[in-house]
Amino acid sequence: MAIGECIQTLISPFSHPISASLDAILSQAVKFCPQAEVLWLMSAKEKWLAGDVMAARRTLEQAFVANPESEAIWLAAVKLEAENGEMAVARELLIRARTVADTERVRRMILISGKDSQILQIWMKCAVFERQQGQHAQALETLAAALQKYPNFDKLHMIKAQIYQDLGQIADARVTYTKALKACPRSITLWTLASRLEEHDNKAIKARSLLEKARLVNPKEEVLWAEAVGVEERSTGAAQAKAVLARGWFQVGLNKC
Amino acid sequence: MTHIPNSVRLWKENVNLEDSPNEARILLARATELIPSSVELWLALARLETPERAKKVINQARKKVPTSHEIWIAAGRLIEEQARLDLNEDGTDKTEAQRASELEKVDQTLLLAVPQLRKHGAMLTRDQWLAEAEKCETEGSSRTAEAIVKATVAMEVEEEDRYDTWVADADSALSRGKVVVARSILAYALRVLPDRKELWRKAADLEKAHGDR
Repeated sequence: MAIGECIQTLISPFSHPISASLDAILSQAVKFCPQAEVLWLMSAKEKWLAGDVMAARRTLEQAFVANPESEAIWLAAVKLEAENGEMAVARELLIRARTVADTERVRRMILISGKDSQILQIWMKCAVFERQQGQHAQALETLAAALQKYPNFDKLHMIKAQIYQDLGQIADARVTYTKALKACPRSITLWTLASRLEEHDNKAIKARSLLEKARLVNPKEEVLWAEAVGVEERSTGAAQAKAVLARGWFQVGLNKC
Repeated sequence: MTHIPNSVRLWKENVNLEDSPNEARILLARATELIPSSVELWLALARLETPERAKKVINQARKKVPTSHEIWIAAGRLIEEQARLDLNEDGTDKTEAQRASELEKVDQTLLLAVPQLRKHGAMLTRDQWLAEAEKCETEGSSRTAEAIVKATVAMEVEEEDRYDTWVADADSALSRGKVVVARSILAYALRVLPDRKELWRKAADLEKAHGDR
């Protein structure tokens, strides 16, 4: 195999080109049924599978023109860009999203199931990618835009606080957690991370009081008790830790009865 | 043979015994003169003739047995076979445009067959035609199969039943592996009902599974 072909294979893992007859059917199909999202998506997907990202992109652009409000087409475009490493373009698409319906739907999804939607995963992917690239300012901007749409999504807050911690801006990290905990008081991980930040900053007293607040909102969470025991162990010593542990046993046990 | 000159069976046996195609052809030519109503003998003769003469045989046969759909289909297949050759009858290369226009004659032939057979009270039902189309596909005459579908798939179908009927026809052809017939049915349906996205989806799925690579 020639070197050029080798490289081509590496770039495009999908070896077979789109069949001419399938391509013909799909281009006719979207001409006659321009409102049928499923046909546009199929057409774009087939091109993508054949390794022709440019053609897939063009198809989705035309699909947009015919269906400017389509959530599915918008999501497909974001996915296409994100998976092809075009994080900047994916980010643009995410920020420009006009689909209010989608925002609402994703919000409800987070509230009901606590699961990350595909859109949120791409938001996070963008921010994490920018953080890894050392583009901290950019990552913070991305997170700000994402949080405007999805303020109740705890992971976005966590990434934001961690970036501030990376930069040594402890005060900013603290503000981030405070805001985050107001928006997502039921996120155990968020309380734990906020407490760790204080501990890390040698403020065990603050950590302790944070975890107390956390337990007021989430009295049945063993993890929060365990974290409190850890805080005592690391700051005041074993005796205090045991006392907290005993209270924890009692409290959690009570709740379980 | 001299005692029972009208026995198709005897003629066939006789032809089968003949090694030389030339002799067989002469025998069959005589046989069709004596028993002009035998579709079987006409078709056997056409198969032995050169393409140009085969056409004449088929035309004669059509006149003698106007109730035979087999002869019309054989005519279509003969035209298709010739259209697919690389050379024209005069030995020149066949251009794509030539081939396309010759293949269109297959469509025209089958379109003509339908009213002619109806006139002679020998019309097949839609299902019978589709079965004939599948047979053509099996035997490699895909354009004739397509032409049969085009000429007959809309017969006997009420307007409100068209979508369901055609989808069912295509599915059933596909279940027997008849891709050409299924594709032709869907293509016809799409010309009539181009705004049905489910039909496009079906056609796309078919090409995805069986399309050219």
